[in-house]
Amino acid sequence: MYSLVLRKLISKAVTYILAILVSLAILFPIVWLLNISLLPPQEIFTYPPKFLTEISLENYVKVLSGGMGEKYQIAATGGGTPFQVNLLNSLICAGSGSILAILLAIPAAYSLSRFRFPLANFFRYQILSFRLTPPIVVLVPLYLIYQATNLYDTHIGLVLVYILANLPLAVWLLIGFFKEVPIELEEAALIDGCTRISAVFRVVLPVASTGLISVAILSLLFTWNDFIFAFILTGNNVRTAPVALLGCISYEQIMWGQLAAQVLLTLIPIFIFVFFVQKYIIRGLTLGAIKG
Amino acid sequence: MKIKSLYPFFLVLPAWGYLIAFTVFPTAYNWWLSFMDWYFANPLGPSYIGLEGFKNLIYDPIFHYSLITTLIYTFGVTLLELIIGLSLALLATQEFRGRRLFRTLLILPIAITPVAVGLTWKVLLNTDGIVNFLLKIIGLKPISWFAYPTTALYSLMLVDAWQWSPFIALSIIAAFEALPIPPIEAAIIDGASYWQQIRYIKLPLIKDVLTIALMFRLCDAFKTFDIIFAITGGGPANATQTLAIYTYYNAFYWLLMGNAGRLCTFIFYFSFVIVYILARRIKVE
Repeated sequence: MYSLVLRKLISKAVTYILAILVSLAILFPIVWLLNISLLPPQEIFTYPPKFLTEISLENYVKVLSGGMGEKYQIAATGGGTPFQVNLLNSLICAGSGSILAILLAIPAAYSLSRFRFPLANFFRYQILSFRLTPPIVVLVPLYLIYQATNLYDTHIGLVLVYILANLPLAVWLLIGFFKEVPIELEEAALIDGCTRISAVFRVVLPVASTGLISVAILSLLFTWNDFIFAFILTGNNVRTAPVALLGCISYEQIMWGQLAAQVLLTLIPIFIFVFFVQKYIIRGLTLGAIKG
Repeated sequence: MKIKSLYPFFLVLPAWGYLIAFTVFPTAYNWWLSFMDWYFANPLGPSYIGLEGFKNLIYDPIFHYSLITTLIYTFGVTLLELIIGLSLALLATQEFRGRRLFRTLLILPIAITPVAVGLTWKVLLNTDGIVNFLLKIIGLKPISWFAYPTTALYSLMLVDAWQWSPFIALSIIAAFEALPIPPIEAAIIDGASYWQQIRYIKLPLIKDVLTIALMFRLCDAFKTFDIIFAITGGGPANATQTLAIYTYYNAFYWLLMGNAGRLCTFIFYFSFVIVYILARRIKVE
């Protein structure tokens, strides 16, 4: 009896210790980045390392006022600083790319979740398989096509590929969410005199609204985080925030402090996002696997 | 619902057509590029070389090396993330205070911009960085992480695991919570220990979820570009140069569009073969 209590106590203690260690492993990189961003440049790689001994906002001021280096001053069009312009570019492209992808995905997912028809399985498999194709494969030819059609370095050009990037996952997830809507609900609406289209708008979409929000949030998150599409298909005009981050290290001397500050500033929207809409993120992330 | 008209078909068409347009044209273009020799800055444009380019690719040692690196990275990272993800899921399903906060924390790495993850770890794992300092404190030798060819690839895999193990964990947690209760109760009544419940009841029941989550990870790991490019850029000495990175350098650094086209063609069909084999094995509906 005594040993059983002891064993329970030990396993409890082990659980807490492991949970704390994992939490540290997740949080420590961010905390340390914060530390580096607040230290004056000459204090960063000292031995032993300093932890918040001196606090200066110099790095943040530099990032917010000018971004990194002369090269990126070019990006400052329309009166904003490069950093603001980059964030705005990210928001415009990720936002419109996500919304348009969902608008395309809704009819396709609805059809694939409700009807059996020839080629349905072919479509389902093929749409998913696009998600599994490495982006670089389409990016090399798209770069050449974009160069030839003046789509290179434009918002429209980037939005077009963001739709491409979002569409497969959006269709895949929405099929799962639409399947959760009981078919009887829709049939009842049809009997009550709804047309099929109004049944979709009045019954299916509202009932699946949690799913729709999840898909929207995930799409927005993934395209906001995108690097490779923007890196290859845009230049100075439509530089997005993640691409600008990498701009910090392409100089001979890496300015770690400013880099850390810029990384953190870029991540703030994501932290807010994770805090407020975590339920939807978890639902979207896990449904893909569960409803497969 | 059965319907005898074409309109379910037309509902799929816009999305499907969009994907096809953005994939078929590039693929065709890649094929065309594959038969060309084209230095992008050459004003004369591409010149036809037939199968010569493919022959060069087959004998290109860096191509072989990139292929092997890609495979090690892809399968290594997936295995690593399965192990860590499963452990995290088991931990997160224990009873303890702050469990909900703990799950929120698990989303954080997934949500962070991969380039930012890469740059953050580049700072932390710098040879003079904080992690090496901590290693010295507990009496271990500092590690050169990204600076040496022998360690660079494994260090990158650790960074990838930091970001994506929580994804496997969240999938497993969700699957555990969706499990039917009777078989587990039956096992408990029969006196199954905690580990026996996991091993013989729960894991077999979530096998499908796990394989699909792993397949997603496997495909994403095969595509990985951001983290590698941000941290090592393929170096040192090509040690972390995956196919995607090698293609990038061919196309946008050395401007060898023919080479890039051949690599793209290869990657495209190679990824299809992998996906096809995996999909056959796990029979996605």
